[in-house]
Amino acid sequence: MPDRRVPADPAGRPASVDLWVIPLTGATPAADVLSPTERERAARFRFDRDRARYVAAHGAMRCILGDALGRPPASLAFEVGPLGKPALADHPALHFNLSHSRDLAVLAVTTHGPVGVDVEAALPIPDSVAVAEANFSPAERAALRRLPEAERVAGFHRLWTRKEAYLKAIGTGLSHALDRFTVTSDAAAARVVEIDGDAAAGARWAVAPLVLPSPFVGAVAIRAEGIVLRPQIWPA
Amino acid sequence: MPTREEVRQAVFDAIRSVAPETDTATLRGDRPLREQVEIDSFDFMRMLVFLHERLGVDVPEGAYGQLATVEATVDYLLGRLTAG
Repeated sequence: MPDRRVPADPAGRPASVDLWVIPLTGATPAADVLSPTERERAARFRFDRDRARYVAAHGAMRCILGDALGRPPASLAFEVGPLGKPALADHPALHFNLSHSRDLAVLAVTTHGPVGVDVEAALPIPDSVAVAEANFSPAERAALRRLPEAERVAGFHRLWTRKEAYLKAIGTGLSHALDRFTVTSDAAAARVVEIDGDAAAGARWAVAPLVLPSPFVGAVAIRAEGIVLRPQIWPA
Repeated sequence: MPTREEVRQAVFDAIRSVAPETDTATLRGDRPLREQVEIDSFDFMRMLVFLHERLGVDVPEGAYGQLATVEATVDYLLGRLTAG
């Protein structure tokens, strides 16, 4: 697949990010690459389907990160940051972030710096307008209202995945207020417009939409002068 | 002022609103919800919108960490309803 380049400051260095797309149906990697903690967690899911997806996503993540480091997948140790973001305990220079929705997972891997990724199934959801009204910034709510009705579902999910990718990159997740920063909702130009009213702070971030099978919408965010995404399908 | 049981029922309804197949009777109220049901952050936001509509309680971001389990969520909502 060709590299897709997001508008970048020509003076700066874009971040190179491997973007693994991991279908969670069909063959799953052996559960024995998971740690005892991960296996316990898998066992606690109420539904076999949820358990299978968890095992497939986390097994694939171990295999991909193990390949990148030249280490056996089962030997990797993870730790979680103060707000819950997972990191490699012994390899802090290799940054990654995992997201899954239904039967699709995506994993972003880079040496550039902390990265965030989010995927959602962009299906009409009756309460998405209420979620937007309750959580999005005034500029985002206005942008959403300006979209033609037929584009609003996709627009909502573009906003959501871009915001979530940024929050996952900074490692806070939803403990950071969703209305304290603004992202674009247009399909073509993904970027952070402002953070706490500061446009320059927003410009230090790069956001790229993901090209995924329908109905999935996704985004990756990283502090960089642009992103060169290298899409890959798991298993390779 | 809703009873504890009514608040718990609202939490169960919120869970079913995002994960309709969930048999809430089998959930462990003292265990993290996200370890038992596949709920992502977007589902979590939708649950908060549902609970706001049902109970009128707005949960600030700083309190999200207090909503990990069903019983902790019930405790938090009851506290807010009592205070408010």
